[in-house]
Amino acid sequence: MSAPNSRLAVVFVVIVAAVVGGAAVAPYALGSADDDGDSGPVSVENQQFQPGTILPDETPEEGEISMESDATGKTVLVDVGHENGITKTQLEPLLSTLVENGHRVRFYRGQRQSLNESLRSADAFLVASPQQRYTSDELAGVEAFTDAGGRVLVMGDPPSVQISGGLLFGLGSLQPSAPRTTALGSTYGVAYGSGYLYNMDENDNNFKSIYARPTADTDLTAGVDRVVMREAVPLRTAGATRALVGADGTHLSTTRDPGQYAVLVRSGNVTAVGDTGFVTRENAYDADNDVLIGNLADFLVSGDKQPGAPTPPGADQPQRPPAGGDGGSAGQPTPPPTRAPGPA
Amino acid sequence: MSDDSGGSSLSRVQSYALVVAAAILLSAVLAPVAYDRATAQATAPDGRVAVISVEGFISSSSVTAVQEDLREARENESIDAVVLNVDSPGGSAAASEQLYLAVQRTAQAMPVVASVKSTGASGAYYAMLPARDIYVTPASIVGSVGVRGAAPGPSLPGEIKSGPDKASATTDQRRAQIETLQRAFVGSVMKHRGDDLDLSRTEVAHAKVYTGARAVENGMADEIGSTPEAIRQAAAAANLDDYEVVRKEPQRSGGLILLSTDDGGTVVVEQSPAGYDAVDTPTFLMVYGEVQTTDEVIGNVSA
Repeated sequence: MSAPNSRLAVVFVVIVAAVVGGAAVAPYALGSADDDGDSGPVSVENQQFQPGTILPDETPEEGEISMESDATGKTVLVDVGHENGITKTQLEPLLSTLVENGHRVRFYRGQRQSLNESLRSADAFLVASPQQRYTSDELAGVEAFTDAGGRVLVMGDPPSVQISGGLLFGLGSLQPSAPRTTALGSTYGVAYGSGYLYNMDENDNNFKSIYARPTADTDLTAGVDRVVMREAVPLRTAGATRALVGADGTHLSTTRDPGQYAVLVRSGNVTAVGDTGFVTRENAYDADNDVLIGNLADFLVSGDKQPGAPTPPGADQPQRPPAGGDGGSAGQPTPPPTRAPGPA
Repeated sequence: MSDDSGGSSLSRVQSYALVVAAAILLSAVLAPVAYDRATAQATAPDGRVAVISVEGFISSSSVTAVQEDLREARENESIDAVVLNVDSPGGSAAASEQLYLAVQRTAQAMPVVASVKSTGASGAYYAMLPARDIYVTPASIVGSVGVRGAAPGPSLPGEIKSGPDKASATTDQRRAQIETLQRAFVGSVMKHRGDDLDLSRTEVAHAKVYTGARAVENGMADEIGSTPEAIRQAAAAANLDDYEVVRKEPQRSGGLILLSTDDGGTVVVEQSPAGYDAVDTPTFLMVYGEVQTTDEVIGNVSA
């Protein structure tokens, strides 16, 4: 009894150990596991985040808006009567410069008297981003005004989207609106294109903030190396002088085509600009914008307008066809100007 | 005595038989347990592939959960590869950068493969840049490498501020800020995908979105395929023949929270002592799609 008992225990343990141990080992014989589980500390280096790599250059904003012209006492009429998409505050740097140099600024609001009456007592006419169309009478009046030596500066914007009604809860509607500059510009052989200009390579910290450079040695670009336009529309012209064009790499948003897009053109007594933002006080000192604003002020007061034009109704007034006042589609090339430029 | 000895010899045989039977019985119970334990360790997984979801608007709070999952993947030795399951139009710029850095850290420790379900644009594309492969289907869209933010609005009337830039910034300043973030974003795209891309830096900066097939062609993505292919690729990259898939689902907090208060940039101050209804903190967004703009508030995203 004594021997069997201990032997029995040994046999029991051996069998259990063999079977259970075999079961535990068997899987390793069938399949193999490899473990590589060392995870060291992880550090990342991102050169593309370093300040030297990503911080943009900011154009120094310095300079002074000054006028060269020695003319005094000229009257500049500013159009605010055609639902113009620009406020007096935005035009302030240009208007202040005129006032500082002894000129008068008047506003046409379209209330008390007609545009033609207001033009009669003015030497220059400034139109920025009109949203309401010009009637054929008004177009004829402006044409007679420039024929008589009056200076006209037209400033336009790219077509934009206007919000009408409240946007609360997503109600309200979005309406595309384009400045009604087509008819006015076409009189002088200048057409406002569609879309906006952008430059992905050389810009003032945003693709829409393009640089424009002079192409011709004109009074308008005297002293200008480059100007910044915040949202510019290309000007198409047949016979006018292209004074400023977008820097190399400027593209048109609608076609994505690169090109030499004009943003400032002059046709005799009329100058057209493809941007309104560059005159605002915030942008007036970017690059050579201050010089350009001074030159435009000079342009406005340098005309030699005959008093009394446009002539009152009943006199020998030039009439335009009635269809001329339509805003129409932008971007179409227009025929060359039929009018001879007035005295410069 | 003879009885005794006969009984004892008989009982010896019997007792051996009894012991053997008992041992076999006990072994029969224990062996499967031992076998299973060993099987679990040896045969089934060479390792695990963690599938981590990045879904919806990327905000600070949604990123925290994903960062947590990624950290766990890095620290858990049983996880050998990560698949990012992406379906997001992006989100806040800061949160997208955070996510990018977390994914980058993970990608240095183990293979990371991204799979785009329907949208992997803007901030979401940023986040999956460190992945070794990006899987797309023909209808999924990737790209939109760009930054947006509201232009500064007018300051509140009757408010006293300690400095001119306290409440807002100038448009110039805001433009420069967005340009800075954009350079970091485009720089990251060029860093990770520059060798694969057929697009120039300028073309990338146009912030266009590309459908799957186009993205594979121009190098914005790598392969056509869905999540299972991405998992297989991640496992292969980690040398796993046999692997287990662990899914990390995002915390379901409901769609509404993604669009509300502390994510979108609008912080609602209750019982405001100063009389303000809400404070709009300027938020830079890396998001693709329509952004509802109410006055100057930008941040609530319908995507």
